[in-house]
Amino acid sequence: MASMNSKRHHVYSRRNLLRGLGAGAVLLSPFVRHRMSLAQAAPAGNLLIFFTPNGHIKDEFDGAGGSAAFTLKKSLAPLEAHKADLAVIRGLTLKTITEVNSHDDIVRHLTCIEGPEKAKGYGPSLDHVIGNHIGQRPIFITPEPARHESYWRNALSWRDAGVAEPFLTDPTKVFNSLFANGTPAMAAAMPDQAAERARARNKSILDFVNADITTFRGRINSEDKQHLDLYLDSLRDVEKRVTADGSVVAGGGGGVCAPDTVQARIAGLPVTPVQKDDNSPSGMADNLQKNGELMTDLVASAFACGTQRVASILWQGASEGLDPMNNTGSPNHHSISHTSDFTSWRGIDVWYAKRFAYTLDALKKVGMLDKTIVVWITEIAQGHECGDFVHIVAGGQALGIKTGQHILYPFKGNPGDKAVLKDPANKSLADLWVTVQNAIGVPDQTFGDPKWCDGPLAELKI
Amino acid sequence: MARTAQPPHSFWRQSSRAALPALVAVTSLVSGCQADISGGTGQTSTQGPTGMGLGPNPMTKPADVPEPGDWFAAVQAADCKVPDALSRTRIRRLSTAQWNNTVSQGLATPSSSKFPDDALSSTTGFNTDADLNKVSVLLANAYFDAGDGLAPKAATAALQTYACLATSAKDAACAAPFLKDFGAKLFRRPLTDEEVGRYGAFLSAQAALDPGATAVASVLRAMLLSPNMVYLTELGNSKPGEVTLTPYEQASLISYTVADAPPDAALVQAAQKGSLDNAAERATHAQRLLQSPSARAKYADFWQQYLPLGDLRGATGVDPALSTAISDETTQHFDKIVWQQSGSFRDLVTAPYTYGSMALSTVYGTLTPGQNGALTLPAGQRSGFLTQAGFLFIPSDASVPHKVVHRGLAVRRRLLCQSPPPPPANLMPTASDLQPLGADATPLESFTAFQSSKPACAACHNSFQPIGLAFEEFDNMGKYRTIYDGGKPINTTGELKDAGDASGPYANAVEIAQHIGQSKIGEYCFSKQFAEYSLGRHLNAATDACVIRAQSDAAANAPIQKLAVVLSDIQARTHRVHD
Repeated sequence: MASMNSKRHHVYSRRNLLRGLGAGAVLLSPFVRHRMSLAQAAPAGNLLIFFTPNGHIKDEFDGAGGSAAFTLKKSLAPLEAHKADLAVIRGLTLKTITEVNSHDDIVRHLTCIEGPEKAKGYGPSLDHVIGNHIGQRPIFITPEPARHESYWRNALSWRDAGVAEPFLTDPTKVFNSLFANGTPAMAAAMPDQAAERARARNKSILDFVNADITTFRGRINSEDKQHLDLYLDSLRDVEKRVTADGSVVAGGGGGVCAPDTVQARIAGLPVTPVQKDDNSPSGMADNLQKNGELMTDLVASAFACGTQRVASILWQGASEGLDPMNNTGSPNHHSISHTSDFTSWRGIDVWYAKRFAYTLDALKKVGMLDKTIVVWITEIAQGHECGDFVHIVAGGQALGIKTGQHILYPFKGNPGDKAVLKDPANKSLADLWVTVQNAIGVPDQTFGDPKWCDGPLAELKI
Repeated sequence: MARTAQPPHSFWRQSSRAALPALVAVTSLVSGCQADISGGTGQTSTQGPTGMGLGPNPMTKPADVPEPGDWFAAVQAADCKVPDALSRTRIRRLSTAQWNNTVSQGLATPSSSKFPDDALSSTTGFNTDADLNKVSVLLANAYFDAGDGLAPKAATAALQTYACLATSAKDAACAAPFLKDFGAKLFRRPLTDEEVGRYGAFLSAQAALDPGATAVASVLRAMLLSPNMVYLTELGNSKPGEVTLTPYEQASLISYTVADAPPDAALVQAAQKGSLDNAAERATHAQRLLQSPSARAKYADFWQQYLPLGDLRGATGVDPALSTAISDETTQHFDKIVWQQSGSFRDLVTAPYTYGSMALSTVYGTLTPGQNGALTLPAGQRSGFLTQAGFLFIPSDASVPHKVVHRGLAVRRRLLCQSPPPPPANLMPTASDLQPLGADATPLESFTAFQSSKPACAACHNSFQPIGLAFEEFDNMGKYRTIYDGGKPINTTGELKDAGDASGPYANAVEIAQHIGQSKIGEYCFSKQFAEYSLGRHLNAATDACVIRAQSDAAANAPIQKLAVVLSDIQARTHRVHD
């Protein structure tokens, strides 16, 4: 366990810490240098995680026919026009020894590491593993204003063991985070002297605080040092925001970079009241759709501009979720997933398939789909199970992802039986993440707990 | 005697909650109630988080001490004459309330900054966990912005007191008094000479580029972001081995434990004199701080987080004025019992009266005004907060089984500190499973049929659902009734099992409340949760029994007010172990 964790502890590696400790231009320079070197190489890939809760009706949320006769089943019908850009993968298993096999597995879906607490992540999630490698913090977004509470149900993204990444719900904050270094419009405006001094002042204050934290860190016990490491890490993000000088490389992501048009839509969004996670009102489906589509366009735009490369959108949290099919409040999606009301459940799956289609269109529109791997994960499979999943991978062809196919991995056993979660006969979900990280430039041949990895999914690679 | 270090707090010790937000501290429940039930075969599994009392967990850290299977028995059996094992040194990030109180006092500028919500701990159900509460990226940004907003005003005021700063901030002699004054308030201790030098150099550098007031504001912004401001410390001199807290740390621990606020002038003076090693003096300060508005606010926050209330205000079909009256009643009940009556846990749970608006008669029937604003409730129908509308309220569209399960679980979890594990993945009962005879059956008839049709589920449901059935004499709004609308009788009798000294037969919910209100298990459970909230960590009955028992051992039915005093004293004991 210890060695496994230390392997994945690169968030707070000495090198990363030093990034935050220096003065002047030293602070961000490794990151900038790294990005420049990546820009010279073949396409810098992006990752977008598309998360929806409560599983899916497995036999309808699937494809068939390999690649020659690839077809989609009825829950995925809205994706028909995108078939060539999809790989539907049936049969992966989230492997664990603790065998939770339930909603709490949201914390393991992208980490693939486990520990004694069911609802805690024990290592960085895929988005952070890639973010750490490319020197850029991933963004974690939820489009629903109900998500106001820090809670295991939303804990998909993990900065590191025990450190859940907070999510953003406010579109303005999402925009500011995605374009922290400015937009082309900002760059066009001449910075005035007072603003320049304000940025320099902010930088001096943060440099001073960094030094203070380092001194303080020397006084505390070994376990609590993680608090200070995270504080330093968080302040690096603050620095990025408060020293932004409007400089941006337009089109640096290789797509159509026009964030101002998306930004203009933020002002027109309906204001939605904050709701309880497990007791939200009816009539919110339109809000969810509008907010979600705006967030998607913001991310697509940031990918195109090259200001962001890794993002996750959590449409609703684990074990909850409104029912957009019947337009009723949370947690009706969860309730429906426990009944035999397949009409409603299918309706929800189809509704989200339309949102997924929108996502692919949005990326295509800015010329980024082939440079972006989009993965739809549905929290659990059908009936709380974490074996024999259906995952949908889209885009990423320029990164070596083979789309236009259905991949079927044979699954052994009954998914409700927990022994299947460690059966070597079943293909590990971690192998999908190895494939994704490799495509975006992380060379590691394992992901999460190495004992569950067999290496990348050969079938998914061109 | 040789003392050993306690293992780290909840990092390795936490178990989990799943579908319902509540604390998890499992004790022996009705036999057969397991944390997990494997693959539909009916075989039980020993898998489960640490501390579920279900056998060894392969992931348990060796140094950890497992939770006892029966927390109440362990607390009773503990020998509190033996000195406790030493706690580890630790740091603890200020809560939003603590940050605002510290800044308001330190900058003499009112602060009511809004920061992102802190996470609810899966073990305690409170948002105060010291391990969980870190400075996330969102919080760091919010700290930065709050400082940016507050510092200029505070700097202008500082220039009134330290006029030389306007022109001579670069001079060490001018800067030092200002730095020492504000530094001591924000860091809750005197600055070291090294710090005065370092902050002075920063001020000087800023003053070379900016006007004096701006440079002073920059220093204040840096101080507000300093870890010395952001974290409470229990570090002493930070040398490996046994360490002694500094008097200033003691002063802070007393004042933040009682009132979420920095030490006041009297406490700072006591720290300067070094008199806080004296327990009587510590108690005097704690007692004084109890009278402050911030102590009241802290207790109110605890109560709000403790009560498993639904969101009454947003509920459909409830008159907004009535829902306000009900919410106010729960708040007032606690406030008056704690502060006006110096009441105990027993009073909270057994009071035959309530406080609040006469509008409550819509729910309770005839209310008779009594002394000090108390309203006497109809005889025999109510007993403390468990029978108040705020606790009993269930939205009208909730299913009947949901109501019974919700109320029963709330009693097991919050009143007895026992949490049945969540339903395992393959056994999640649906609404129709819980009502096998259809919607016309009474909840008791449904439960009886459910026990036969789903025996694997019933093993756990037996531990809480009968308690929920005893509350059937109250409808969704909490109105008292003796028969169902359709004319069927309501049977509320039963026996409270596996509930320590609260166990025994009962006629109805009032008797359940009376059993718990007069029991040690109820009192210890309340103290345990107050301490978990206040100390920011899960208490393990195996290692923290004497913390849980401290107040009860001091006096029978001790006032709830005293809990904070007792805990502040435990916190301010000087020794810790550092690694």
